[in-house]
Amino acid sequence: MTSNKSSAKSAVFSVFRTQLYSVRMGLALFALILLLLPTVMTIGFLSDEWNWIERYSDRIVSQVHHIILCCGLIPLLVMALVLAISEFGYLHKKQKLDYFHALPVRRADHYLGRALAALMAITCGALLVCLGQTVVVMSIPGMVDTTVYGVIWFDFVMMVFSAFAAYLFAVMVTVLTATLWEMLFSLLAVSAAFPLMTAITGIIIEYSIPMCEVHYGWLEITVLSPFITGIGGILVSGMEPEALLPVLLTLAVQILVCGGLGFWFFCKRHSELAENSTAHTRFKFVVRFAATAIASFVGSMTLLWITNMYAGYLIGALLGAALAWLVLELIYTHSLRRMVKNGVPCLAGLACFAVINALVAFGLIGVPGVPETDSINAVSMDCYAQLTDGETYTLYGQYRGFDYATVYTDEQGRSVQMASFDEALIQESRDLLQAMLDDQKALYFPYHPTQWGEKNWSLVQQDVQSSYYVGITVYTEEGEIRYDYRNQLEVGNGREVFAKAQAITTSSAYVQNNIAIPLLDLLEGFTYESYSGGTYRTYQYNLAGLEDRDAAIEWLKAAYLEDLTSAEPQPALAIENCYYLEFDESRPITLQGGIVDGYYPADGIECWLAPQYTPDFDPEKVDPYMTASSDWYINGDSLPRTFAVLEEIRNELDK
Amino acid sequence: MIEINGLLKRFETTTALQNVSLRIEDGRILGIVGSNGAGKSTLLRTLAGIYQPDEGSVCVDGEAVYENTTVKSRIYFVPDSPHFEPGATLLSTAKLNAAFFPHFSWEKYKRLCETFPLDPKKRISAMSKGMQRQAALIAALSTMPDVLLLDEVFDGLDPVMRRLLKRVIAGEVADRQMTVLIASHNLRELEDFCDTVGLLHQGGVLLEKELDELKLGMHRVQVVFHESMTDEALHERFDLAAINRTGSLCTLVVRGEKKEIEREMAALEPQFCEFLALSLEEVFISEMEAVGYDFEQIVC
Repeated sequence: MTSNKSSAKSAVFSVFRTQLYSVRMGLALFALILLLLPTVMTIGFLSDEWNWIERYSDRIVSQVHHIILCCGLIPLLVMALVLAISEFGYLHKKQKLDYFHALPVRRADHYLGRALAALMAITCGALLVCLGQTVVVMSIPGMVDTTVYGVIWFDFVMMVFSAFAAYLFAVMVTVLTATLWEMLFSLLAVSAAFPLMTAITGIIIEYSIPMCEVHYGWLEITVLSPFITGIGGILVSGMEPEALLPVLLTLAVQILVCGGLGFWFFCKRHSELAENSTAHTRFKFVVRFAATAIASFVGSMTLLWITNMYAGYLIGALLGAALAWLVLELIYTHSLRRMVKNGVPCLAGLACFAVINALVAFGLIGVPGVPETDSINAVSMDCYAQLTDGETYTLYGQYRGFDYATVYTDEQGRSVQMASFDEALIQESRDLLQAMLDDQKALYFPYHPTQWGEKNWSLVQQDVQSSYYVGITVYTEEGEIRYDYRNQLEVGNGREVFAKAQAITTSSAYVQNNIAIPLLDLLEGFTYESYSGGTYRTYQYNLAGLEDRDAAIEWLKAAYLEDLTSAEPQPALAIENCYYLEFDESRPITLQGGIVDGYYPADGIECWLAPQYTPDFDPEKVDPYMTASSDWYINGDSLPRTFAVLEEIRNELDK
Repeated sequence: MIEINGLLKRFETTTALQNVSLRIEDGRILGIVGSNGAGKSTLLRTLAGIYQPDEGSVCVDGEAVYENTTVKSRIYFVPDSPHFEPGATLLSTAKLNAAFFPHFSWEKYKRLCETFPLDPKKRISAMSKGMQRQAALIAALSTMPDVLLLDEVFDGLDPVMRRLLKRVIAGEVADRQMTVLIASHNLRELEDFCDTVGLLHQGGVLLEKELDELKLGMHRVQVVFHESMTDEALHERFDLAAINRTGSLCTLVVRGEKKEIEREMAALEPQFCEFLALSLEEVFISEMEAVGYDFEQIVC
């Protein structure tokens, strides 16, 4: 009885050694790319003053993270692909395959030896990047933030996981194909299929169904595409270890699945499949299906955008599928003789497009639901309408931009909207939402992308006489849901819906949550700017000079609230005799309503106290962004009651 | 000993080998002939453990070859287009083989390098086709295989090298009882080299016989009889593989012992009788025709 076990370890090592040539070539290529790294980093760092470093070391950490991604992970992924081809590409060459499979080495040892060599090369590559980064960061004078080293080595783990997953995926596809071109095509088709189809399905849903906004998490759509899971996961998740953990776990699962399947397929793979265009029929079925489905989705959207017609949309799907079918035949069989025989997976791809469109048309997917009132914590609402006579536009509602704030907690700001926790208002908003959905179902069912999308886009083109927009955000324990709807006032119950929305957004229960109100607590002083008799003067005032500052602030807040509820505020068109408010930027505030948790530094908030748009303006003559005064300017037109209180305070301080 | 029993190998819809059964004793040289697509290379690849049999068994000394590293370490396959790693030299190829084949002999390698006029440090890709084949054979024989599988090995070799190669292989067979399977579609190359010849056609073994048995058991006789002899009469007396008549001259291909045939011929008192040598190809042609095949179509 002969035992194979005794020589297994040495066989793996022998195969490993034979692959060192590929490893060396891969690393040489990688090192060449890495030469760019110091240059990129130097340009990045020298673009600012050195004293910038101490204050914004967190930004350096972020920059290091992104440089590692650009200069490290992307070349590493390329290396993973090159290694997969160079080490397992022999499966596609009869001559090479004869040699390697005639060696006294078991298939399992072949796989393990090659995979180990590649994984070692990848690890070395990642190590090279991270050591380089460490050296560069250590050489920056004044760089005291040691978290950067943690980020570098966490990125090392991320890079290694991403490249391992990509490599093992590429190996699996190599094992399942018979030629290099087929492998590259299959890799592209399988990688792109799920993300692209999901993204386009989202677009179809958004185009077809009113008030529907589709959001997919990056991991959800790239879970079957290891080459992009890592890059996107890291970019989307930022640098927080908690956010990156799911990415890491996903990559670990991909490594296990692709490694396991690749190993199994490799051991079961018949040597005679090399260069055989009729081999791997099951995998080809998957690739044909994926490629045809992608092509039908892309084709339909392309012709939809070109023709803006439903017929164009359907013809696009057919043309896309037919083109994919043709290309697949040429790649796989180098002729069109067996096109009909191989048509089943292609028809399945087209059927996938048809099924998704049918599901959307009958509202089985994508139709937004309305949460129960009990589960709603708060609501935010936008509404505006515009009327035009062809020359001028008249705006109604909140299209003035002062109920939003952008909060900056790091480099990425996020928008925070005024929201109400009032139970009655929540119920009213929910009823309105339900009424809107019912109205839209009556108008647009069965749904399809041109019917709603066409009207939706025509509003943007501003070629209709009247249009309105209502946007409602519902905040629940599970998160927030956004409902956006645009249409003409004359369509369906448009006027009724808009009137209800306007009533809610101008009610005192709603506007008292204005984001600027808590900001007024931080008012330190103001600059009064006057322009008279051709002379422009500015006067600085500090509220510290007041006997009772707190009372003055409350007075100001009350006046401001009254301005918001009593009448539609006007923008400060004239800059003479206006106040520019100055806030204490060193103190944090809590935003009204608790929608945004925690405290934020005042200098990290951008918002407008005064309106940004006039109710009527001629966009060709006046640029609304220019007429809108600076963010915290107030005059007698914009906020008359607030302005009057500021006048009183100024008089008090002048005394 | 190599034993192949009921071997079946399919490629998709094509059956490359069907019910192939062979038994080759140690120290024998088996030549496998057949036209393109007859299954010669498939048989060798299956024997080398590259292909997995769909049905039947391929064993060396009672052990299956496929995925059996111990058995495969005693087998070396030289395909019709040998593979060398990029930038490989004969020396690096030998080192690669030494890493995988436990019986690799550097002494043998050195001796073969002295026998064949090759520079071990020269890139193989820069060598001629014939020299590449020599390099492949040096690398192969250095592993000291018990079973050597050669596919169209004489292609590209000049007559001197062919003779040298045959001599080296014959030496290995004599010294170590190495078994050799050599596939070719050139019968003349195998004539003075093989012990046994097998004919593959459409995936099956049409014929497998000892060369001596083939040659010694068949004779061409040119004869002129006093009285005309019908074909039937000749068939009654002799085991005829073929009859050809040119005027009164009959050319017969007769199976059997030469002495027995001579005796029978003498009894017929012919005017003229002469025994002529048969080439291996002619023996094959006669054998094939006897069983109803057109040899020209099978081999050529």
